Amino acid sequence: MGALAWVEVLDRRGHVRSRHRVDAMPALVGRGYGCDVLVDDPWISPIHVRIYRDLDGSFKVEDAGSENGLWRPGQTQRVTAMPLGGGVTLRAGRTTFRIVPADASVPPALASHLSAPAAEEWERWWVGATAGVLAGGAFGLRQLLDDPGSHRAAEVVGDALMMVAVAALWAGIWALATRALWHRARFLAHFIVVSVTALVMMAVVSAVEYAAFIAPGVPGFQGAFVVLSFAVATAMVYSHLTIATALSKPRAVAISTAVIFGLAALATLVADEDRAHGGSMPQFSAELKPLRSTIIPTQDTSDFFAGLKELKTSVDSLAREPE
Amino acid sequence: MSVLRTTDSGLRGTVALTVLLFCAAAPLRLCAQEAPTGETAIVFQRFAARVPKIQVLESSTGAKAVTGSGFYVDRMGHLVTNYHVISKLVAHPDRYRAELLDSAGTARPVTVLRVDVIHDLAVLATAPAGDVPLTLAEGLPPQGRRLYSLGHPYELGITIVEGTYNGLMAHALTPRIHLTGALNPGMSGGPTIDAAGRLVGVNVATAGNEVSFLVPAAAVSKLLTVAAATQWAPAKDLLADVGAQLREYSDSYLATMFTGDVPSTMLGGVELPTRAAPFFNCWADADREVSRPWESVEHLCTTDDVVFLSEDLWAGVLEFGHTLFTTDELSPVRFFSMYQARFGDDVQWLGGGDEDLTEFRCRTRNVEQGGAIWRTVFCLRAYKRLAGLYDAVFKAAQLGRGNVGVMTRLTLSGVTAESAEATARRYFARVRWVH
Repeated sequence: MGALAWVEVLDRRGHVRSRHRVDAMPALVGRGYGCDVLVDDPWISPIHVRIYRDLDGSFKVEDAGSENGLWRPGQTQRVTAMPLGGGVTLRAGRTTFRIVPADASVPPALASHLSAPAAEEWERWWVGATAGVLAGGAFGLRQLLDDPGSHRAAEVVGDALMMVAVAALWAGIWALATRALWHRARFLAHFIVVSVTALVMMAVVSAVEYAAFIAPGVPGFQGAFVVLSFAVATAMVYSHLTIATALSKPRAVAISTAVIFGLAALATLVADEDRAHGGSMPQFSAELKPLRSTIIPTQDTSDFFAGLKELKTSVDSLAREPE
Repeated sequence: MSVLRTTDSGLRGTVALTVLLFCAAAPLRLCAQEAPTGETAIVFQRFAARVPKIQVLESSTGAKAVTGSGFYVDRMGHLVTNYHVISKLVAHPDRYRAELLDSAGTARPVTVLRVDVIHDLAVLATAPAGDVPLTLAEGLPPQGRRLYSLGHPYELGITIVEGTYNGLMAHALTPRIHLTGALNPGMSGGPTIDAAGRLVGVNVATAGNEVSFLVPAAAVSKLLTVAAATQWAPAKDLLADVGAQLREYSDSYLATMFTGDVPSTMLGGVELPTRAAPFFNCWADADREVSRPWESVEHLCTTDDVVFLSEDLWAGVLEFGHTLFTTDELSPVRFFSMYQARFGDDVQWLGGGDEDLTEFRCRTRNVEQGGAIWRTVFCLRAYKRLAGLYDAVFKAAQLGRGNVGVMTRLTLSGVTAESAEATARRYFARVRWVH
């Protein structure tokens, strides 16, 4: 047999705290054990409310002779009896109820915008493993080449594992964010993104270093490096965003660009602060690479010294700048 | 301490205590040689009053910024002290003023008439008040002559220190007298005299352990002649004088450097200049650690001459050196990453803040020189308040040898850009790869 009505006890914010099924009429609500719906509220009488079917067949609610009465929230008039209709909210003692007939209508389900995207073609474990090994290996090798003092295999492996661990941690944070929005974390996808980014970044650094070594006179390596690393970083954030959210392409591009430029601006501020304190050491492009002398383009000594005129002009203009 | 600080009535007590202190610290034999009522006490009694304390005060608070000593050179109120005692006043006349405290303890304002930044001297003027001057000694005393330095060390009051004349400093660009005696901060600008009270030199610096230095009286005489020739008129722009003196000084010593016969040294098959002039001190040292997979040999030539400009800024730094790196173990890639790091770090710290100097600007090229390819760097920064003066750093690192690297550097401070460039050019021309 189906329910005739439901009595819902609400909390202060109006959320349902407990729900009681009413199968037969009349039904009693109160503190007494003979009631159909028991409510633990010392201000409620043993039998407080009666729900019954009237002669015309409609449901009604009435005060069953309670001590403290029955009220409609926000109104000052005691309720003696009222039709249930599509459901009423009433206060008895210090408890708020909603009494709803079983045939009350409810709104249709909300349409969800969160439909999890399908895994990408490249989201495979072996792609992740390869990217991780390559990134870790490249980092270990870089450390080995950069620090001639360390030459034990354990140190290289340690550096490589460190790189992988950092990548995994980074991917893990993104995976947590993804899991908060979808049913899946897509850790592997994030890990592949960060590993590939690390590889590309290391390649960019090496390429710029070699370029600055081969052609020190060409201006703009610093600028090229900054632009390239911005592009790589933005691409990384964009990829993470497209994996983690359902943002549209232009929106994801805008957000990732804004994030990277914001961070870059912050870094520039910090760097400016540093420069103000440590400007008395010369900053020059000190790249030395083990290339054969036959393939290094060179300049004449006299050309080199002739070019110092520009240097003098440039520091002279600095000296004239107002403080 | 309070006894040492008193003047006039406490003088005798001060003398006894000073002498006693020095006797107690000196070897016993020395004490035995000196009579307790010796010459020192007499010298002190006769000449101490001619050595006032010089104080540079911060204008707004009137608090001491620098203290030193000075001495009267005539009865018209002219004194001599060190440039470095009154350098703050020259650099910022708006922020500081100077005064002297005479033997009676009276403070009298002084002005700076003229400076000689190269020899670290300054001529001051005060209102004449019957002060007795010191006379200048003619020529130099014989080595071993007992001399007496007077001054106001720390805040201890007028003090006399015995010292021994040990000739002019060997290998110096500017002449300095080597005095064996304990000069202390605050005695700067005070006189060192012989027993007859004739000025032999002006206290200027100490290297600790009783190794002290004086500006010879001849430099004082020269500066006084210049000041007298202009009727003791104050210089129009002291800072401009400082700049001009530095430019002339550096141009003159750099003009002949690395010209003619320059001794050379070999490092890793590269011929490099060494001890370009008698005033250079050259040192070499090899560095090999078992735990490190490379070795280095360093050859460094420096001078003892620096020109004081401010507490953290010295012009006239003249230094060059070479370093050879070799390895048997490292691959070229690893060797070069070490070589690159050393090349970037190997820069002489020149001090100076951004109030006085611009930042460095550098030119870097790969250059062919003496049969080899070099990564060559030239950096320049300008003095903001001394027009036409620069600090210059020249560096070069040999390229193209997988497990050998030779790098060289030349540092010049407080020089003209033209002299720096010409000197670096001649320096680099001396570098040859002999294979």
